[in-house]
Amino acid sequence: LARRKPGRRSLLKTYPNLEGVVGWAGSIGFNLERYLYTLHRVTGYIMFIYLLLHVFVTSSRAFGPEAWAAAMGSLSGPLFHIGEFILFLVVLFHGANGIRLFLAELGLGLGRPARPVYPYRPAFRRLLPKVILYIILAIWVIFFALGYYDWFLLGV
Amino acid sequence: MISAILLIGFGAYHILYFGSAMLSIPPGQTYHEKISYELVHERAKSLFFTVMYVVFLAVALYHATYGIRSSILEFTSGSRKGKVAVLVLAAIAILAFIYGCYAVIVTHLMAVGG
Repeated sequence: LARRKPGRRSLLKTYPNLEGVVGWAGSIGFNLERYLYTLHRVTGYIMFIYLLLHVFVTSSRAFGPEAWAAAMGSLSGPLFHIGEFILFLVVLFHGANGIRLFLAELGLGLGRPARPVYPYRPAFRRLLPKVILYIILAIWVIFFALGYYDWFLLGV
Repeated sequence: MISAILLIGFGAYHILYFGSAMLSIPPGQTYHEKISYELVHERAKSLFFTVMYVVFLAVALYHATYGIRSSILEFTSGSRKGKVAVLVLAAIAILAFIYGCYAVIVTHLMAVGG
């Protein structure tokens, strides 16, 4: 008999701590990096859906000026304007947090490896990674304000 | 990681080029003028923009598909359903790439030809 691969139900029996998507939302205690990780994934999904729509809409230029005008005409109105601003925030967050993850992956700012002695102190709990995290969040807030001014007060 | 670095560069250029009310490269053109068919047609003549669009699309689709693949495999723990989902995702990305490249290349040939 060919060995069957374990399904999700049997995996949950073997590993009852396998939380799936639920694990993204809740974590033990307040852990900012955990929520940034969740947001990074959620913004990634949003951007993928947007990318497909963007390819579909902008490809209308290959079918002449009328098709282009029709496609651009469908992308107007206040709802689209708000959606565009939300997309700007999503891209900004994903990019800024991506730079933080990039630095962490290279080990920049994480300090020297320490012995895993109880109570364990993750490298992310050190000062420099914290500073980087708050700089990234500050960049996001500054661009949020600039974007809001640009989108809604100046008018594109 | 390499695709992420490339995307930050491409994305920043894309946003700065199309600009906004505050910022726009080159200056003097509004966002609405830049997306008019005349200027889109004008840009399509440029080989630089044609190649950049194709590379940008390839990098963006690769980065997105690879990222979503990671989360699918995390939830499905190597099950058959997960592998099928990854294949469907890859097929969607390849179709989007083919369609996008078709549009970019056809527009370039149209613009250069006439």
